[in-house]
Amino acid sequence: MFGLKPDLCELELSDEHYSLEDYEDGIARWCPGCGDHGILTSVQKLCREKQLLPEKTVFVSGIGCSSRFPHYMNTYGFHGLHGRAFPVASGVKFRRPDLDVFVVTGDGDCCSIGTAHWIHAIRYNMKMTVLLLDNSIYGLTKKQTSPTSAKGTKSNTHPQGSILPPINPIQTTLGVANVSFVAQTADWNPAHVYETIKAAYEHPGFAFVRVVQRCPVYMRDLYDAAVSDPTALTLLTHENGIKLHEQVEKSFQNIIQHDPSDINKGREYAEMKDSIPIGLFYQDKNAPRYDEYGACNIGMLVEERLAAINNEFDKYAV
Amino acid sequence: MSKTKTTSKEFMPDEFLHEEAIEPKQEVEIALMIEKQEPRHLKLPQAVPATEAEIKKQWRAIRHFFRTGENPNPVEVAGLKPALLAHFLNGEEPLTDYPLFLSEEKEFEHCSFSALLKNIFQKTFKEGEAGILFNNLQRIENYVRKYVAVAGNYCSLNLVFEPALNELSKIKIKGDDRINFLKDIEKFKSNFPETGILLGFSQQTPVHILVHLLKHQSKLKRNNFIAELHSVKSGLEDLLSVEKIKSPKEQSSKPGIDFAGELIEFNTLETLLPESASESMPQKRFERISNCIRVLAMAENILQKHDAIIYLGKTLADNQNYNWKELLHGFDLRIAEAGQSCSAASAGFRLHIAELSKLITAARVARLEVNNKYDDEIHDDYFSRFNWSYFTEEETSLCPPIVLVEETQNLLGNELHHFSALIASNKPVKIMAVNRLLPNKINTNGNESDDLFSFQQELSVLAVSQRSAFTLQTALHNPMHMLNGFAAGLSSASPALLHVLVNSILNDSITQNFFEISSAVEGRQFPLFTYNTKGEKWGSRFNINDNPQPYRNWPEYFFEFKNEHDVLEKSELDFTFADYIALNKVPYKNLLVVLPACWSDDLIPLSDYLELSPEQLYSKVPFIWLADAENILHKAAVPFSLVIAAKERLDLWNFIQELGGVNSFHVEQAIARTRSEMQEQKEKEIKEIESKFEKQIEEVRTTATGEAMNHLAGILLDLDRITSLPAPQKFSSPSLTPANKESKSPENLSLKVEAAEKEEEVSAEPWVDSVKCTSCNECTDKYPRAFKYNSDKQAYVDDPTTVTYAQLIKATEACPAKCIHPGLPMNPNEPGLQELIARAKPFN
Repeated sequence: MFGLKPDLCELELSDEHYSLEDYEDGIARWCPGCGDHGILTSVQKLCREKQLLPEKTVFVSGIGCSSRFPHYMNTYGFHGLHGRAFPVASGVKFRRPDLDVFVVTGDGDCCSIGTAHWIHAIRYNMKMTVLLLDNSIYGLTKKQTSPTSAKGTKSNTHPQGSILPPINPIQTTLGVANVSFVAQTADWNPAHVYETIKAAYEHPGFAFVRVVQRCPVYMRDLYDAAVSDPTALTLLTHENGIKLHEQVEKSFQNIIQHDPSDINKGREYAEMKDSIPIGLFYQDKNAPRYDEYGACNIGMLVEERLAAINNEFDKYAV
Repeated sequence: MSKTKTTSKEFMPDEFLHEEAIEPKQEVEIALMIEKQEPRHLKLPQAVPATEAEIKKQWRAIRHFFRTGENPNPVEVAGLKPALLAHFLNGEEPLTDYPLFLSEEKEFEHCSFSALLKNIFQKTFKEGEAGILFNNLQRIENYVRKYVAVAGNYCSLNLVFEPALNELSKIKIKGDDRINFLKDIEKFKSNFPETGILLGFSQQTPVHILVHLLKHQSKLKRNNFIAELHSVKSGLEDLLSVEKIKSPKEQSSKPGIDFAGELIEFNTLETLLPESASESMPQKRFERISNCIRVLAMAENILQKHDAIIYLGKTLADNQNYNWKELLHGFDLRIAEAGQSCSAASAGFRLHIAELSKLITAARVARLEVNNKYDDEIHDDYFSRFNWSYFTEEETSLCPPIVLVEETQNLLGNELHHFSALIASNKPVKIMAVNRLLPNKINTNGNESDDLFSFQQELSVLAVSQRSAFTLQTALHNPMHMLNGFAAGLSSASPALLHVLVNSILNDSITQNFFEISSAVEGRQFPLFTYNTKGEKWGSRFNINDNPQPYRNWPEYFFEFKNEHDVLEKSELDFTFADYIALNKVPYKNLLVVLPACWSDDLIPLSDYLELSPEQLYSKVPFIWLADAENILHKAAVPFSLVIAAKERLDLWNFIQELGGVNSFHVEQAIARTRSEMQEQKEKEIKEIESKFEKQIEEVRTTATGEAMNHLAGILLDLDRITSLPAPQKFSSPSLTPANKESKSPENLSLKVEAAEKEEEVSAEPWVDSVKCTSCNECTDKYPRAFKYNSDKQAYVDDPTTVTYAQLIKATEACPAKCIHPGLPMNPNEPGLQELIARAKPFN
């Protein structure tokens, strides 16, 4: 166009190159073997690849093991109230659209106490990357049934085994109006975790990623067999889906072509029982975003705002 | 609406006003931060209500302006420019293909500096290596661009590259990353060319390119040619020296044979030998060879005295923007008087070529003589008529060219006749026409005019019509098109016109200068094309592919703006000739900004207007989108005179498109004809098939009815129905044989793969499949000396001797990703090895 180079966006360059350790803060105090470690590394690698400015990046969480995440990121963080990660993150994004916002939440924080906020955050479709670290148990409080614990899970609250079927977070998210990005990955496949989080970050809206993960202390056996069984995962793939390296894709035995614009098929795959589906279930890049509406008056001077308010009031003048 | 208002300000609580009043600084700071990331959107204006009478009055003014182009009360709107360029013209300097790198070494090609960086990076590193350096190549380019601009848009690569890399190494990076980064820089540097020229965007750039190509392009070829001439010359000299030996004087002076003279009588011997063996060279041949040697001795002087003879038009020579002495240092520079540049170049060519012609003749004669193939009967005639038109392409390219540098305006004015004659004469003179889009004198009877039609400057099209000249129409904003075109034109054996568009006046803003040129190409004022006489057919000679969107009338671009309700809208917008005029002339004087209250269906975009039929044009007024300094969008009415000019430019563009094979009338006709023929053929086949099947259906119907009647009769007569039914053969499928099944079943394949895998040897050394590591700290916490993290924070085995085999197995079993492979024990004396090896087996 007009003799210009297509990569105009590269004009702004920071004087500092951030390496992995620039995004690390302290030693992660999760149990050895916890899936959270791998997800933390993937997120730090994403920050490095995108060279996100630490002072322009915010991690918001609620309560739970996974919600300790912001402590281990050398960026801005907000370790909030139980179940309230979404309203805090929405508030940040609404007034500071220039920041990169990440939400890290767990199966208790998101799917139990925070469900109402979860539903509305999906509908608001503000640009943020949401990671639901789902280990199907309350680990921080030492083994109570969570909303995503499989039926029959024995825990301190249900010693004889839980009696209700679990919430399916993918299916629930797909059921909310204005949903725009729903993906699932498994913590024992780091390459897929990384590419999924990357695709979520690049999505222009609310990108919801459920990470199926192990709790090595309280749910030791839940996915143990799955880790060494190549058929335990089913990869949803498509040219518009999550891009994997050819070698990584070859390591999967079950592969299904799924067009992420087909929400009904996505819902069908979300119900898969004999294997864990991972990949992109649904994406709509054109869904309306509430944060764009929120940002429309940023930059207005006080006088301009007063003039605009007066203008509105004047419509009712008699 | 009532005018008596009670404004809301009176109702505003004081606290609210106070609270807002202390915030602005912070809010503005945040807004500025956001602004830097994301430019402000273009916005539609808020419509100010107007009465019907006011609207009618404004529309009368619009229609008057459309008809006459007169706007008695122009309203000055600050910073008006074409909407598509608003973001670029308000922002920083955009990234272009400048600086341009001109190579002086054989291994490197001329290219944009950014392409050079990327090429050398790919040559130096494998995929995935040196990621930090790759992400910062842009930084080197930015530094070099600024340096080249400060250095007057011309500098040597070695002056700037070292400081650029030093600057790059100042980026703050921690730990091992920094050490690796510095190593990568060193490696990258070692593959970079040591010499070369960098050019920025300036009026002199085309001249620099011309000079560089003239100096370097044929130099190597010419040196090889001179070396060849030297060897041919020494061949000729050998011939003459043999001839000298044969002469009696030489023979008598040879002391070596004196002793034999006493024994042999040479005169008697000579009569016995065949005549030819000792025959002297005919005098004519002797003179021809001597003459050749004399001419060849001057080869170096003729070919290397100057790289080119350059004739420079007087007006350009007087132009203060060019320092010609410095620019054309080392060339034979001759200033041509006004109106005589083409004839001077033509005369100069005749003089210059006479000398070259002698040299080429001598070279050819010499080759024939050395090979003893010169035949007087044939070659005397041939060489008596020999002149430059007999030169081969190779020979022409060896000659230092005659170059004429002149203004387009002059070539189209007083010089037109001579220019045409020069091109038609097929003399390989290279003409660089510098077009500064100055008003053309042709269409205005010699008087300078600011008329829109003064833009008709089709010098290149005129040259193409002569068919024999390489013709390039190029513009300063596209350096690679210009460079490649210049190189092809200068190496061509035919005459060449290198017509290049540059800025008429340079102003302070590089961006403004750049868009002045690029918009001329985008607005189809100055389409780019190459006509290379080398192609076999017209289609392969004429190339328009470097134009923006060559298959469309006007280039169309994505356009985003906020509507009156502040909602983002996306659409496509054409860039027309009127947009070009709006950028390069004062827009509010040449166009009329229409008040939003008057926007109606009668205002239609210019590109749509130009496609309407005369009946549809009734009551319509064309407009283009402009944006002001505040990024507010305006519809600007276009006067009829500009519509006609745009139509004329579009006609020219369509003509060039057709020459380039786009929307060709003949092709379209052929396609339509083939399509209708195919359609007819298809319909005919369908009819044939239908009639054939109708017959078959009728036959089947008759037979089936007969059979059904038979069955019915059989059943009715209580016959054995089953025996009478035909066997169902049609749908039986061939079954797989057991052997086939065995060899092709997937289970068997997987068994084979497993067997093959089992045959693979177990690694003796312990190793970690790092790609699968989930960074859980399990192994690195327990055995920090044995396991470490790589730069991606995934584990690898660092020092296996620091752990026992038992500890290794413990780490392997604890690994949640199951990515540790313990290998075989290193210490054969470790206790309990049998059990440990058994535990290790599933992980190896």
